[in-house]
Amino acid sequence: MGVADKKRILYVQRRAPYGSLYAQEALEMLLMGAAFGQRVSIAFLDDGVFQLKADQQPGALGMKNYGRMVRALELHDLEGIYVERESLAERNIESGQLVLPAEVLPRAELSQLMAAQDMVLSF
Amino acid sequence: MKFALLVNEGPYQHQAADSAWHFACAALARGHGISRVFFYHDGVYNGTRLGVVPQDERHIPERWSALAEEHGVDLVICVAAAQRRGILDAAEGRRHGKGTDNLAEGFRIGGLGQLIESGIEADRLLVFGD
Repeated sequence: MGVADKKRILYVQRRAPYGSLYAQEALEMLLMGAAFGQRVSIAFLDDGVFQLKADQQPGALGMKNYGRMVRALELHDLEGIYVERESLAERNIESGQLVLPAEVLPRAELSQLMAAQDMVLSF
Repeated sequence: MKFALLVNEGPYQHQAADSAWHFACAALARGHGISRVFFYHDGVYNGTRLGVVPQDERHIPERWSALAEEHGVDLVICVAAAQRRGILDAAEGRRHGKGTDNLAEGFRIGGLGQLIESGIEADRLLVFGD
């Protein structure tokens, strides 16, 4: 399959990493789906930006450390890992506090990115 | 147009499963196709056959089953999400030594590949979530 035939798929992470399973299962979907050879990107916005915070310590919750799981994104050949600038600012998070290097995009550009996709999977 | 649907919420607690079903019915009535409905997250609970619903309420799993029977819609439950939540077909029930199964008529257990495949083949993939 040539690049032109591949579909652009964007996963949108909108929720905090703990308190529900949305973030973890969405990540599992991406990591499984990445094996199907499409053009995959992921964007973190709203409370989803908390998923990228370094030094997560969920031990007391009895949940898996999402901060460790999410670093697996770096091992995959993704088109892009994006985080929304406004969402970071609203939550007083700086890009230097993130667990992996993500491209910081303003909201307006993120909506353009969404418009350019074949599939947008929002969680 | 050919649609594929992704349902991310369970029945009753959220509107998503109802909206997805209504959309599917409306699209089929207008001559469109629903190639597949894929259930993820708590959406897998749409596929239990053990729900006992008060008679004056809609029976969401049975509505899905009827849609599969009448229109041949492929209802696929994600295996990983289903195993976590105790939704098993006969084969999975045996494989994990549970001695039972609870998958409703017309549903089948599948993998994420089937979601990606539907997204690629359909004209539109619609996500129904909270």
